[in-house]
Amino acid sequence: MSVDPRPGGHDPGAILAERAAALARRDRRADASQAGDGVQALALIVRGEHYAIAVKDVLETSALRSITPIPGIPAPWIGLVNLRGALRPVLDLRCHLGLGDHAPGTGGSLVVIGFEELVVALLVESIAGARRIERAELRSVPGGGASPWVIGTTADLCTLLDVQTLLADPAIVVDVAA
Amino acid sequence: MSEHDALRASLLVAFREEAFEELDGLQADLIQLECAIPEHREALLSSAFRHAHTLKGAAASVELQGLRQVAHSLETLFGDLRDGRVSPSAAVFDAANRAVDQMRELTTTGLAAQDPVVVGTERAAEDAVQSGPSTSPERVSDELMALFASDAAEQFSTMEGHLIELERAEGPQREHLLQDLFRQAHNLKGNAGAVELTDLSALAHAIEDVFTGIQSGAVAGTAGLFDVVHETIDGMRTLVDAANTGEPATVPVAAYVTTLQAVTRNAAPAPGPAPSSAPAPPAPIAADASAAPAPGSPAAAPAASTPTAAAPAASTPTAGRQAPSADRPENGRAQTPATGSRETTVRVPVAKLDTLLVGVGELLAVRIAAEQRHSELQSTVLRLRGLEATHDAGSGELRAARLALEEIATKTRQDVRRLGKAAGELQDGVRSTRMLPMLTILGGVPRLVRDLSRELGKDVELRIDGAETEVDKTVIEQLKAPLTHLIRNSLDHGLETPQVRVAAGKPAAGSLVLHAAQQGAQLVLRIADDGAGIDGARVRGKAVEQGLLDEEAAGALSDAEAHWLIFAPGFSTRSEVTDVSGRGVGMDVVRVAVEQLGGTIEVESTLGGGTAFTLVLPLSVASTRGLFVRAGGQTVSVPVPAIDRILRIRPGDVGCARGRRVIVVDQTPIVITELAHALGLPADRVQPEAVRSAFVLGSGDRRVAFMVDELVGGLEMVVKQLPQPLRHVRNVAGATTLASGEVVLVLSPADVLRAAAGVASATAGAAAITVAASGPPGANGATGQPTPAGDDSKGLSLLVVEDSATIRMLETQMLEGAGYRVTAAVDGAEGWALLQHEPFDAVVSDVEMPRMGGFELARRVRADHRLRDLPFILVTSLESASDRRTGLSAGADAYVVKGTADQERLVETVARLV
Repeated sequence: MSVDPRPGGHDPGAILAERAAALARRDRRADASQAGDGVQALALIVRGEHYAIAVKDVLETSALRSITPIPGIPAPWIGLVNLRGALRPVLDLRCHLGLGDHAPGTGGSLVVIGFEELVVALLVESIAGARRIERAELRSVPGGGASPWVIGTTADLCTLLDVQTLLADPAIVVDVAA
Repeated sequence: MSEHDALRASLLVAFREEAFEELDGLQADLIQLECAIPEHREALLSSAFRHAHTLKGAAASVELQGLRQVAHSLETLFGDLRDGRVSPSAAVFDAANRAVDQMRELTTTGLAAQDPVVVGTERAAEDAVQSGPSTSPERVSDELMALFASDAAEQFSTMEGHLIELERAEGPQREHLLQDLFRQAHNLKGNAGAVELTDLSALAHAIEDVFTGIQSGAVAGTAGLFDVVHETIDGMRTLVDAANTGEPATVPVAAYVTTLQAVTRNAAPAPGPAPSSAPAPPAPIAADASAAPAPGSPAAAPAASTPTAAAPAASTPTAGRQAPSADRPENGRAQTPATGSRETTVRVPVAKLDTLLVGVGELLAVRIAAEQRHSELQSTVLRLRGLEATHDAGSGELRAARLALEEIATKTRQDVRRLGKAAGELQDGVRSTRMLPMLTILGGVPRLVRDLSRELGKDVELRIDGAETEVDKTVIEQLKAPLTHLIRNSLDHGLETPQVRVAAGKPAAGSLVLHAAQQGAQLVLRIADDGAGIDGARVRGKAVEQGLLDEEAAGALSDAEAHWLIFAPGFSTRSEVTDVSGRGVGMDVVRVAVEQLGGTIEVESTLGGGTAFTLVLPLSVASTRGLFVRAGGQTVSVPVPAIDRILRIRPGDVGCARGRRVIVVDQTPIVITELAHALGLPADRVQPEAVRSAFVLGSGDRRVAFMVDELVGGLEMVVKQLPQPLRHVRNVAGATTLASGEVVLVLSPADVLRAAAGVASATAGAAAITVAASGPPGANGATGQPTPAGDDSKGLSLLVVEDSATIRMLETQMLEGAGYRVTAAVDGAEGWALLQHEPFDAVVSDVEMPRMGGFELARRVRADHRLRDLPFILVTSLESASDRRTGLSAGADAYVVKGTADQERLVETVARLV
């Protein structure tokens, strides 16, 4: 099985449409957005739900090829993937989002995120383009429980995640004393 | 979508690919630029400029104006850096790196030009361009300071080494040492002045005076004086480090100078001052060095009792001595001290060597890929041949094409061989540049022992052998901490005080011996003391107390097994925590560090007699041969150096002992288990009557055999560390990437052995940390032998000639499993020699081997009247018809092609001919 080095396995048409819409939105609210506190984000779909992470934390995206599983590795990790020559650990986002068990689910894309020296590949179902999220539109979901890596949810049910907190969490470090 | 949009979309996809490549190149250049020496900057800047320029053009072509503008700013910046209009500074590099990050982001999501993020980046890049030279001209350049620092480090090491020798030297040697010490201090003084480190200069000057004083006899060389000088050197080291990193120094220079001057001026030397009690940076010495020595310091007693005016240091029983040894390490000097050698060496930043090593690894991966292409070529030839039969009636064009392809395949094979040879030699060469002598870490040991022994009140004779043994830099770096810990441990727990020793009938001075030697591809490092040894009872008691295992299990352990308990996590037999050896985390950490390097550690001890630790480590960690196997539905790799042997297991071979499945190897029963179980993978259902393959890990009684579903083969592999934050994953040492891009996990032999010990136990109730059981086989099961001489034996003997060790092992086991007696030779020449002296019933030979190949061997055998009728089978990957013809005409009876030859085929062929 060969690894496709090209990033960005998602539909270019969708991105262009999204950008056009974003531009249109921006023109209308040009003043507000300049003064507002917002974030340019990459929209993802995980187990049917919409999530987003800040574009500044995204290093690259890639269609999923093959993941080498690591037997016995604790959640949220799945295994390793070879992206353009570099070995990246693959993290199943569903664990952090409380979305069901660790069984191999549908995953179609990888989003590679980075924070300081840590580079991790997130397994997601698909990538839904770019969008801008204003802080003002974020709310917390009642009864959802507070997770340090969830910043908030927009009105159209897109949840913004804080990648840096996720990566800085010492609980994801695997240091098993043999 | 419109045609324009569709075109643009596909352009974007192609652009992204190119852009990421350029960005990677640009990022790499930036990283190198930050630490490059000026001579290399120009080339790097030109390369970075080109990358930025390409990006600019590409971005413009897909109308990503924002990206284009950032690339343009960077282009300008690099140009300015190259022409000297802008000085490289941390701020400039920060801005450039940020710009690269932004460009990456932009490429990922293809934003429009008006985005404020983009504008911000341009501004940052412009700011960086506008900011003029940020370094003040008066400040000493970084390169000069780095050069000074490295020279100074050597000088410090040399001075320390001389000082230790001086303490017990006499006569002309003393003179020689003092002169050299003075010279070192003098040079240091001058160099320090040149880089404007006046404090350092002052200290060096004070030390100069001390040496002059000792030389003239005005100052007595007491242990106390040497303590002061050592501490001053430590202080000077701190000063140099601080100057190099730009941080403020916190060394009480004035105090040092005053002390040294006081000591120099006093005709009667002061008794030992307070030695620093912590291994941390030295505490400031009190100005009145004649104050009472610290309580418990043994230096006080001997120093006060013997008047030391002008007496040579040898008569003062110093706490730490270095006994003469055959290979006394030249402290700190990795090369010969002769000044002439300076011209023949080159200073190379280690980062460059690491880059080279990575490059060589890539080259090896390419070779592996090329081999694969070659075998793909061969299968294509096969297919064509098949087609010929049905499609080629008359014209013979297909056949001609196939023959041409065969030619290409043969030439490719030759190219691949040459590539493999060249890459292998290059790898060896690069590996050797990374080799450093053990002296690098052993050089500091005399000082460590001296300080520790004085602090602990022990008398220690130290001997170091084999410091010139060369080991890979990574191994050396990671050995430093465990080695230090083992030495501290020995001095703290192992060696007794002089009083206790004498009472026990031992010499008052304890002995500590460090011995390093190369054994094949491994480093064997032994640290032995003649101290109290490990108290097996105490260790067992502590283990039970800490809940590591229950009393019964503890009682069941042999002494050797009990000693091994000290390596268990959290273990400690000292009731109080001493500052020197810390809490009981020590031995466990040592073991983990050694195993992470792919090595092993063993301990031998006798109560009252002493303790010896033996570390076995690979000399080089660059690349290694791996045995690839399939188990539990996954392919994994096992480092070949750790494999004891490969076996074929028949159902009758497996027996039962102490609740575990065992097989008998070399008349010793060893545990056998499924690799899949040990790894926690689901094991496939296997037919009970199937013959299985297995490999054996470990040594001696602690070996375990692991059954696998399939032996895929042996390959050279570069093992990469698991990426963060996967610091340590059970059973996994790292991962390797195949030519196909597939990632394969590399197992950690030590972990897997331990996992097997845990898994294989049925009713023994053993704790997770115990070793594999080894005892006489029980009566309740037949134990056979995997290398049978039983009813299947045909009493026939074969000669296997093969240069690849892995294939040799595989073929041998295959044939032995079929009942033959096998002798192996590594090439045709050895095979020929063996044939002259021993009778064989058949020869199985590879073709391409050094010294003498298979064809040549076959010809010789046929020409020899005694061997003329010996069945001769060629086993090779040369597939072409012409090779086959050559082989058969050379006299081979059969020609078996690797890749198509599986086990049965070879065994079948042999059976047919003998």
